[in-house]
Amino acid sequence: MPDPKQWLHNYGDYLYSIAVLKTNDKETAEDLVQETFLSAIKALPGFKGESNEKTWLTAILNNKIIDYYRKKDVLKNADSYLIETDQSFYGSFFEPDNSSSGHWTKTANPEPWNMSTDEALTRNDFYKMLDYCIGKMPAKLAPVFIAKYIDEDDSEKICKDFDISSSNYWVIIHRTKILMRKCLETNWFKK
Amino acid sequence: MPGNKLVQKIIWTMSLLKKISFSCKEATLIAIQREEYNTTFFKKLKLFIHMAYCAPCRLFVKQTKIISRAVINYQDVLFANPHHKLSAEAKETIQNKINNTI
Repeated sequence: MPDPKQWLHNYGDYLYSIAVLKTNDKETAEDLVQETFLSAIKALPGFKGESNEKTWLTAILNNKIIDYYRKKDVLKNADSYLIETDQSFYGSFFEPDNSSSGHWTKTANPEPWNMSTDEALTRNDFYKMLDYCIGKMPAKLAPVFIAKYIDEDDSEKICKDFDISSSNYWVIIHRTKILMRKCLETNWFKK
Repeated sequence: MPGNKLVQKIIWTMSLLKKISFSCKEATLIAIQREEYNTTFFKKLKLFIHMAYCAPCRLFVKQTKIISRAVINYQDVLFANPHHKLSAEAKETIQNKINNTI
C-alpha cells in the first residue's frame, strides 16, 4: 500500500525537477508538486497499483502541467506563431529554396562531433546541458519537444493535449530537433 | 575527349537529381517523420536521392537519432540525480499539508 507520508522524501525533488523543466518557474513548480501530492491522496482509493507509485504520481503532475499550459495560453495561436516566425527561423538555418537548392547555411551546417556520444550518455552534466538547451527553446515549442521525447507521448495525445494540427506538430518537432542538435553541438560535442 | 563527355553527363545527371529531390529543409523534415510512420514511395525515393549526395543531412539524421536515444534516459537520470531540490521551507510546508490531508 502506498504511504503518502514517504512521498515527499521519495519523489519530491524528482517531481519538482520535472515541473521546473516544464514550467521554467520554481514557484509554480513548488505549487504543482504540492497539488500533485494532495490530489494523489484524494485519488488514493482508486489507485490499484497497476502502475507503480512513481509513474502514477508523475502522470498526475503531468496532467496538472497541461492545465497550467492551458491557463497560461502557452500553446494558444500556435498556428500564427509558426507562420510569423517561419522566415526568421528557417532563414537562419537554410538558404532560400530557390538558391543553391535550399542547402544549410554556412553557420548552421551540421559538423562531425569530436566528443564521444556514448560517454555523454553516462554523464550527469550532459543531462544538465539538455535542460539548458530546452530552456533556450521558444516557450511555445519546448513543451511539445518534452512531451514527445521525455514523456514519450504519442503524436495523437500531444496534438490533443496542445490542441495543434498534425502538420503544426511536425513543424514544431522539426524546429525543436534542429535547435536541440545545434545547441548540443555548440555547447557540448564541439566544446 | 570521351572523358569530358562522361563528366558532363555526370554533372547533368546530378543537377537533374537535385532538381527533382528535396531541399535540406524538406529532407530533414521527411527524415524525422520517417522515424514515426511510413511515407509514400515517391517521398522515400526523393529522400534517398537527397541523402546520397548531402553529407550534412546524413550527419543531421545520425546526430538527432543519438539525441532522441539520449533523451529517453532523461527521467531515470533525473530520478537518480534531481537537477533541482525543493528548499527546506517548501519541504516543511508540503509535508505538513500532506500530514493534515491524510
